[in-house]
Amino acid sequence: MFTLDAAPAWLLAAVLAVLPWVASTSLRDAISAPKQAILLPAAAMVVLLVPISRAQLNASPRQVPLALIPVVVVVAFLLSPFHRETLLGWYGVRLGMLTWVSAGVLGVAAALLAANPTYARVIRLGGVSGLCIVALLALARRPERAQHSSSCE
Amino acid sequence: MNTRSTAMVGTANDLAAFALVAFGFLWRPGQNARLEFAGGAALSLAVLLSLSRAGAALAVLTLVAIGVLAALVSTPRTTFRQVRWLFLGAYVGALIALPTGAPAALLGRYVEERPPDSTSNVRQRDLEASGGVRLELWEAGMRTALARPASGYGPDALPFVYGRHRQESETLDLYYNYQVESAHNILIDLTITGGFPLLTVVLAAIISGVWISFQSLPRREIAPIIALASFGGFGGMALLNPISIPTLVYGLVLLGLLTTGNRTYILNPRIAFSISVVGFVVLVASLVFSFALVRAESTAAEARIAYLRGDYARAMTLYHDASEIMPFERWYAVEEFAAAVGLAAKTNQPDALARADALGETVHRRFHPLIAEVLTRARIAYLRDPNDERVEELLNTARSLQPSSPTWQQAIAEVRR
Repeated sequence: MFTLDAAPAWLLAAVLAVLPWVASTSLRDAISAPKQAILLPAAAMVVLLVPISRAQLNASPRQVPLALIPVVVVVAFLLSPFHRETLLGWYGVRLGMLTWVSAGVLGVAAALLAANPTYARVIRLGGVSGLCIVALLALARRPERAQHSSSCE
Repeated sequence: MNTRSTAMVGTANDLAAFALVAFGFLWRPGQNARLEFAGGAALSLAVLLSLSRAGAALAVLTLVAIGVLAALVSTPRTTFRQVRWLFLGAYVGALIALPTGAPAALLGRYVEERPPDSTSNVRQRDLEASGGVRLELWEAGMRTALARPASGYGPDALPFVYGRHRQESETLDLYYNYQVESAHNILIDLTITGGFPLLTVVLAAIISGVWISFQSLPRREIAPIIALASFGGFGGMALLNPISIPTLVYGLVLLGLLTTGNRTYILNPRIAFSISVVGFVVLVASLVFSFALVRAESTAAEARIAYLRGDYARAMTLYHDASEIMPFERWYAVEEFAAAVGLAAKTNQPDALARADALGETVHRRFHPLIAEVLTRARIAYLRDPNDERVEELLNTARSLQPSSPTWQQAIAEVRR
């Protein structure tokens, strides 16, 4: 599984596993900047790793609409009367143009890699890891919330 | 005081939506017993701890859908063998959640939808009627989307245009001083973001990925049963709530995994070299950008602490620094203005008022205004000189930003008092 050609899949898995933790308050994330800060280089690194690792890609016309999502978002951003406001997105939400493009690149990378069972397994493992991390983080924070809840009842 | 488990991936519903979409990465039941047990437990734990009623209902529906889909593509005996670890995991997750009080809270003990906001006049019981608010937000969102159907307003632009398109409504006015960032329906939000072209492209991508995978379920050896069911559950959440960064990324990657290709390529060296060069340049640029963003956020966090302590002068300096590091972030500039207003109110000196006035003008030359900021500027201008021509100009701008909100219109009328 740890072969060079699987490197983009491992990177994708790592992003999926880490992103929910980055989204937690462990990085003082009253805002969403750390998520954006991770997403942008991650998307760029996937683009770089695909040719370097000589990963096996599987394309199909079915993937065209998925690939068009970031393109249309960029066009909407360019035509928007709110250029400065929509580059990063609304503070605290951060679903700005850069987030959409990064997420779109990761989605297209997943689509191109998905036909290879090894790559797909690695990416899915990353996704499930993210789910488990979030569940454990939620459980760990529970006593603090319980105190708040009891004082409100 | 935050009484909901909102910290993980945004709001309570964000956490539930995230758990639903991440669950789809298990793909199909019967592949890996340990992983399915852990995934099932994590799903039920995260959804129950989120205290999202919609999320809990959709998680149950997702599990039912997995059972039904598995039964459709195999025999009942095989289905039971396939789903047992998944369902056992979900059951154990619920058992772990029991002592936390979350399941009981979901069943009715929990009365609050949102924490009380001391700066708001919204009464707690009013916020419990989230269904009615949602319908009105959808209506306002649709009006906004239809006002610019070809290209939309761009991502996350709703707070700047929502007020112009919403109807007069007592329910929406309860939230008059909240910045509405989403219409609480992904289809409407997509149309506001990129017009009907974006909506069409996203629906086409979903049909390509989900619907074709769904149709091929009986024929495929590795049927993505969990992925499809969980995408359905996530879709249900997205039709009722905003999405966050993690759910957007997970949603698009899961959709990508469902949209497999059928022709294999290995990039030839020349194309590979070109893509590598582009990738490297983008990587360097994005790393620089990311470091700047995190540095700006750290500075802004310090500024926030200074503001809360009442040290407005320091807050102004720090927000200014953050704004210089990341000039694309509107929030830093607006907060610098807010700190200047705080300083003027605290010191009651004409110089401080003049500085706040000048900062407000600078901010709105750089960024589009929101009504609260416009009214603050109007009030400052009025306090400095009741006959200042800018007062009426700013009040007219404020009227155009929220023409249908009686509460805002009342606030506009009170600026000169």
